[in-house]
Amino acid sequence: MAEKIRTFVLVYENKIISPPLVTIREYANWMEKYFDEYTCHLTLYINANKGGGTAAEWHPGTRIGQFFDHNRFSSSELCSWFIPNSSKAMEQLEQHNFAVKRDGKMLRLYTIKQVELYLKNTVDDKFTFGDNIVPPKQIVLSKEDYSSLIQPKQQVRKRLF
Amino acid sequence: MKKQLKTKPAKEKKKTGIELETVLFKDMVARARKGASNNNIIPLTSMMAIELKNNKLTLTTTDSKNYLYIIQDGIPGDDFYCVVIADTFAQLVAKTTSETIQLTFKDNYLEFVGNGKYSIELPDDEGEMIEFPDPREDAELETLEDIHLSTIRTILNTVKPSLSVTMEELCYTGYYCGGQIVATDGYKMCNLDVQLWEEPKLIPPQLMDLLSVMTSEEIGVEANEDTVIFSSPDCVVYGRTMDCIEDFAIDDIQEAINTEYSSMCTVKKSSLLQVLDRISLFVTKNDKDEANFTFTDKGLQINSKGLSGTEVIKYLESEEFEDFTCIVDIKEFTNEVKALTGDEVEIWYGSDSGIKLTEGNVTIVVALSGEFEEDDEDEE
Repeated sequence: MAEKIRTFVLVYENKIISPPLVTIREYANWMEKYFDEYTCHLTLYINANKGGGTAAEWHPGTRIGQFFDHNRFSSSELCSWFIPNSSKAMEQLEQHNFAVKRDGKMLRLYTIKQVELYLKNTVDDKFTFGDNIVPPKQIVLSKEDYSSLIQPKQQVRKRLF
Repeated sequence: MKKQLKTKPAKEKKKTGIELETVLFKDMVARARKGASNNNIIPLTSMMAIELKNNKLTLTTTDSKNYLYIIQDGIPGDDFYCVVIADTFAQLVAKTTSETIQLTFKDNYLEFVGNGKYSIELPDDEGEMIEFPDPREDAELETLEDIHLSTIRTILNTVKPSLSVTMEELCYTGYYCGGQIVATDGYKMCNLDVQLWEEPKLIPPQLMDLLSVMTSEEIGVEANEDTVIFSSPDCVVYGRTMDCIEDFAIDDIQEAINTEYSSMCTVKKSSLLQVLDRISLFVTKNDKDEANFTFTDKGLQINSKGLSGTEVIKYLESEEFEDFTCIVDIKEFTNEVKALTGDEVEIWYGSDSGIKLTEGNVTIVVALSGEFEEDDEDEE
């Protein structure tokens, strides 16, 4: 497999702040800014409340954790494998080409190895990411990017100064 | 447990020891422990230095940027210096119930005699004894105005909740200390009208937190452009100030603090907190923690956005009453009310930017929520 799988870490003020704390919408906006083209993004980690959340709690404000960029599969292909059980979540996903892994009622953290195994079992038993995974690329955030990533709630309040 | 070593005369290292009242030593160690940040990456931050020099006992801990020295004069004994693992040592002291504690510095361990006899291993660095650096020795400092312990307590209780906890504007993670003391994150702010120093300094929160161990009302201050030392007879705190004070928009903040409000009311703090507590049960995540505040002629009405919860708190006092409705972040507002120390809360309203709370020389402003002229297209 020729394509490389890249993982990302976000850096601000010389500190790694991944997993990035963003909503899906903010993440999509941000990705559009940094990458000219991306076919799809597989969201590995969706966790509403740090300790885990059910699909029923999924809403646009849910924070996204670790993610990676995989440009081999189209979003529609991935969406057919990963089906969220909330129509609201599905609407969000379709707008931004995301996919969400559902496992029973929990949205869980998956490692690349686990996803690899899943794809082996469902797509191609010879599938492997293998050597195509490269070390994380550091995305250095500007102050504006960091601000928009971590403080979405304050956008509905006017600053005092 | 190691066997007691035999004494050997004419040896370079003497057996040195002290005996202290347990109550006194417990207090010293408990305070000193607060300076140890226990950062796994920096071993020194998990240690405590114990030094007796010229009958002055000093316990030293650090978080690698700030140093805390707890001091007790008048302790008889020969000079010695050793470094122990802070947590283990502190726990042993805390659990000791004997009247006195004896510490004896042996060749490579510290003998601790309290309820029983314990050998405290002394960590080393590849065979070399560990020593804390003393950054105070290099500092050339100017003496500034003293600071009062009561001011520190007000800062930590009342001003601290307004600090920024995110790093996008680093300067707002610190306390502005000059003609007044200010903390803000841009959406809430607290101004304590106490003059500290002519040349303002930006004090990092970790350094300010350490000052909670001070016990003397008058605290001496020495400083230069990037260093500050707070001193009292039994405690010294050394720290570095933040270098981004130029970014702190103190003039704009003062303008916001001094904004005119048309009306004021006073309510009982306990009643207000109880109402906020009950209404918050009906404020959901989809409400983004927002609640409606309506100032009516009968009192302050607070309700959740879906009107599933409504309560009215009667005014104790009302001046220049006008009907006014606004949307407030109930969590932040509650935290700020809790930060006040009195039984009554003065609430100023009528501005479209914020709601103001005052108590003595403390002014707190919380930004209002809601829709503004600039449309947020990403609003969910």
